[in-house]
Amino acid sequence: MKGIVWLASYPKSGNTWFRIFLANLLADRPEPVDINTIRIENFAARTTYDRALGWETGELTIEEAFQARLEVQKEQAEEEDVFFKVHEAFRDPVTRVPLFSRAATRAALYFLRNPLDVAVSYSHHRGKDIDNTIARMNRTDAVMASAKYELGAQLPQPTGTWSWHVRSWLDEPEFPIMLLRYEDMLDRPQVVFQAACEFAGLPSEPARVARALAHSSFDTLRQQEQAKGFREAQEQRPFFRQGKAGGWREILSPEQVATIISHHGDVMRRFGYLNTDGSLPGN
Amino acid sequence: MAESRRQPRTNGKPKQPKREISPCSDARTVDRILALVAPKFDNLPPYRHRVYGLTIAAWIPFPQLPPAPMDAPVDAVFRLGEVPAELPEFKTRGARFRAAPGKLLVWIDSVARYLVVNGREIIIQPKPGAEDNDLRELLLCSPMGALLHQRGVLPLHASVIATPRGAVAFMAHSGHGKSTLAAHFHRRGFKILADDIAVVSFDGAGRPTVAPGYPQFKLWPDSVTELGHRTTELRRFRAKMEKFFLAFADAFHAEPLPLVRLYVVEGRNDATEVKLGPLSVPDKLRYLLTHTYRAQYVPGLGREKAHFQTLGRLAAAVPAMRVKRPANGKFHLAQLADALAADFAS
Repeated sequence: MKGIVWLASYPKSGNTWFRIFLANLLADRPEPVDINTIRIENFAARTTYDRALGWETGELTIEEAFQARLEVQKEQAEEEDVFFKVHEAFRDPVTRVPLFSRAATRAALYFLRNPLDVAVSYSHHRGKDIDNTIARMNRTDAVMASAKYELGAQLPQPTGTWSWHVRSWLDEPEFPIMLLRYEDMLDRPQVVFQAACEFAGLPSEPARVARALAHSSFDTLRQQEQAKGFREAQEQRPFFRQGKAGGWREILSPEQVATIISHHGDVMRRFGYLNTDGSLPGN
Repeated sequence: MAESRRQPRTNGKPKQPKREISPCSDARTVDRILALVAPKFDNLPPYRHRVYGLTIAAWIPFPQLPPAPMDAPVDAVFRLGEVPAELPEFKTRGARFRAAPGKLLVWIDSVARYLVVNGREIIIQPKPGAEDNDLRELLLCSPMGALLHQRGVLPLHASVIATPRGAVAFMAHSGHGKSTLAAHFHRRGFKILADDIAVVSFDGAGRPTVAPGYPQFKLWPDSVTELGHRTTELRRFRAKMEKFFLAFADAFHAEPLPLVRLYVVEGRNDATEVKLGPLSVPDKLRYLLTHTYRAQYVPGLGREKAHFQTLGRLAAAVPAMRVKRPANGKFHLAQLADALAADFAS
């Protein structure tokens, strides 16, 4: 099938897990796929973008490179079975211009995770302290891979605040998107992953989904990473760390929890991460 | 660097290239055939330069390119003209290009549209107000790549240094350090043939040969600093970009040189040290295809079969190694260069 399937999320929200599941689902082999050979790339990877563009983005200003973005997507959508991981917000948080082409889209899956857990996991991934990450999650001008003084492997990716990110994807009218909560993916994997496959037009036979899930279980991924490393890890810090929900309870201070709620309470309430009375579920 | 001068066309007829055709279908033969069948250029633009083994007549001077004598036979022309908005006969397309046999249209909205025709001509239609520097720098990227493909020579995405045994090329994706590496070898006293594009053709004896490019590196500020220079002393690649030129006129190897070794340099998150490993012929072919400059133009230009034949010939003729280095943190430049120098001297 033509058209792009977007695997969209704020960082550290289950996107890579799904990507590895998908690689196993498509390969459909008795053995798990090597996590370092996953071909499902980030849309912002320059080599892929440049190929569809016809120029190297390293020769262009960021504005020139970004102007062609939707047309690059339309070119890529002409191929069969195109999947991209993306961390950009649907709309640029500053200019509010859409960063994704509807015409090029087959479907989007949006991975959502409790921002209290995101703050912990993302801090670990970035190698920064938690307060620094909490501040970043509340910055409108937050951009991933924004290095100006070297040529990064990826184009800059505007995320905006965590709340902006969630809303920009899920509130885009008439956009073919399905929400997957990380907590539900952990809790009821067979049901959630199978529904996602059906939505995105992927193979969804229960046995095939079950096998791909087993091949992308947290233990399998961590074993592979321990044995051979993972090329997407940052500076040798383990990428597959805990793979669970609620870990924030052992890490975040009450002040840090209060700050995150003050920044993102509305969106947290909407998706069941905060009770209507402002208390935390499970407390 | 000497400037080429604006001069009226000389009355003396330029020397014609020799017209015997050798049996091997090498790049020079293609040039000769082109010279025989292509129409003569009318109204040659006034400036002459030499790059990638070609003599160019250009509408403005290209200060980055070595000059060429006014009476040298012209291989290709850069001129201003009208460029269509679309190429109706295109076979393949991208977001900013259309490719058809003998023709490539490529553009950047805020700078110019370029039409590259039959390996002989690049026609530029600038956007009003575009800076000459941007027109020149972008011309030397995608349009130049298409011109080289159309001429039947092989442009690789590589930097090239001259060693006592011959030319050594470092192929890499942008941002993986090929310019920085070549600039580091420059500091170690090696002469340099090319920074970004290595143009390979086969000489009369069938040996792969690299044509000289032009004497400057394009570097990002991190590399400039790592090489011990300051960006404030350097000219910008384009006015609004943090990318700089480091000239090496003193160390330019201006003559072609046989290609003796190819390296594929990859920065990887999962590498903790510099590692070299030989490549099998099929792997070489795969990497040569990956690192062909503007490979996405090749099918549309109708050059796929010829391109594969050239890659096959090159893969059979030249040893190649894969080089993994850590992507994060330090570039391990000296360590990388030591490992490579030990390898290409062996």
